[in-house]
Amino acid sequence: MSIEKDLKQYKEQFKKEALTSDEKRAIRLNIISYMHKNPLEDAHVYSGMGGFLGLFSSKTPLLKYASVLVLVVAILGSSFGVSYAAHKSLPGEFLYPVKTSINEKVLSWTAQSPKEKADFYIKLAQTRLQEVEKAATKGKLHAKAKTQAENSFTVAVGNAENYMGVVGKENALARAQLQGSLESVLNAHEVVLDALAAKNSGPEVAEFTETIRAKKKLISQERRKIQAELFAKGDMNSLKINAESQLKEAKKALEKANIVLKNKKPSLSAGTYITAQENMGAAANIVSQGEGHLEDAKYSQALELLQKGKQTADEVDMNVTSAAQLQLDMQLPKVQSYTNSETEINIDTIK
Amino acid sequence: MADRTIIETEFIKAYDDYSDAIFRYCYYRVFDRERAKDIVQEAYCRTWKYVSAGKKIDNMRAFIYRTANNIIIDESRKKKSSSLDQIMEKGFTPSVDIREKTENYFFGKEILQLVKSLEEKYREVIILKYVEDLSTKEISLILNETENNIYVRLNRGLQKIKKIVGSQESLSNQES
Repeated sequence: MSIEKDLKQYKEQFKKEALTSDEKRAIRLNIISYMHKNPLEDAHVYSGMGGFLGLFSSKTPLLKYASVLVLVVAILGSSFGVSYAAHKSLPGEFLYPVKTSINEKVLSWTAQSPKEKADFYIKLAQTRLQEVEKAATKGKLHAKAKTQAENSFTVAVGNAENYMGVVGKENALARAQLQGSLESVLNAHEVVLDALAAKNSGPEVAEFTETIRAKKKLISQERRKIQAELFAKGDMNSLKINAESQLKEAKKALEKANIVLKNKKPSLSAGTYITAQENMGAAANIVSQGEGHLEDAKYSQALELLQKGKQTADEVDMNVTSAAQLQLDMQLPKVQSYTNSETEINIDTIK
Repeated sequence: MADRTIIETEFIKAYDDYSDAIFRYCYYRVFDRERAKDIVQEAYCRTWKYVSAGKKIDNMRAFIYRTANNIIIDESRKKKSSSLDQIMEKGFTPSVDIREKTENYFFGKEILQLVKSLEEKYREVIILKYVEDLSTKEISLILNETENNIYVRLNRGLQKIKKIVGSQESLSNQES
């Protein structure tokens, strides 16, 4: 037997040395994050038709054909009809690239300040998650669609993080609040996707959920670190201003979530509705405790509680909206009310 | 504005498609799992930097392999002086003691050990050719050498394995 033949025969032995799926995902996230910190140079991307047409000579067939597709779509996209049709498209569908690369780019121009831009991309990340949920419900979240959705989701989150970074240079607490909003989006849709995965919607849903969990963990760690540093620094004036602003936001979120819950009640299962109602009660209680701390000039505790209250209300809002739209019976995690202790703030969700 | 998304998506696809193979290639060069992971990440980041500057890449797979290869070479150059000092102090012992192996050379584990014991310049071409199924042309692009050189190195690498196997067999025969 020749050595060449042995090498070929036993190559599977060599291939046992592989990245685990967690390792592969972690490196992938790091690379995507690097890509967003080092975006394509404008001269390259907006190099006019000359640069664009250069793609047609690409020796990579996928790039070549994708370029043709985008050109055709761009021509068609000048008509409102295509643009409108693209708006409703889901990952894996023909017009989805028009939606994510043309329609939404135009929409992003409506946001002016870094905070508005960050808010825009957080909402876009939520739209990506809603699309995944719709595709999974329709049984259309195949591997290719999942990859497309995952990439678009990562791009939206990456852009949001970039703008949050810009906001943070001026106001670190405002950045932490934006991170809290993004965390709420990820928390709420993690619950929806878990419910879909439990309905046997295919391995793609579970894989996508893992991507969300990994991202959520990173964002949460970063937010906690920023807040801990700011609380330790103890700039009372800044903490007070931010706590007052957070109180207004939390009250608005409570009001909105209560209206949504009331409107969606007929479409919700009894279990989902009862837990959502209990969580709204807990959210109101947390906000009330936060308001109390604000009055007592305990701004750090007030900020933390008001943010938690707002997040809880936002998550109820998103959960019941998805449950009603997808006709999904969800086991919402119960939120524990704040135990009134001055030294310890301990609010956890009980799965 | 549309081509930005395409380029990003294509690049992520290149990660999904090739990262396992590139990790293996790095692992069999450095034999350190954590280091191999770092090299994979670094190779993709450096490649992205190149892409983001507007430079064109004809063969993405070969380019990433080559970048990984360059990182490994750079690191080994940095470490070389300290390694030489250690060898001078402690003396050299091959990592795989081939004299301990007296039978079953042709089982996968043994083949793997034999390939591990090869000099790096032979090991890299054998892994790329027989494990990753790359063509001689692609290997030449990755290692920045002529196809003829790659061909010669492949043959010499195989000859070296045969020689080790031959010496093992004769040793085994003498003992029996």
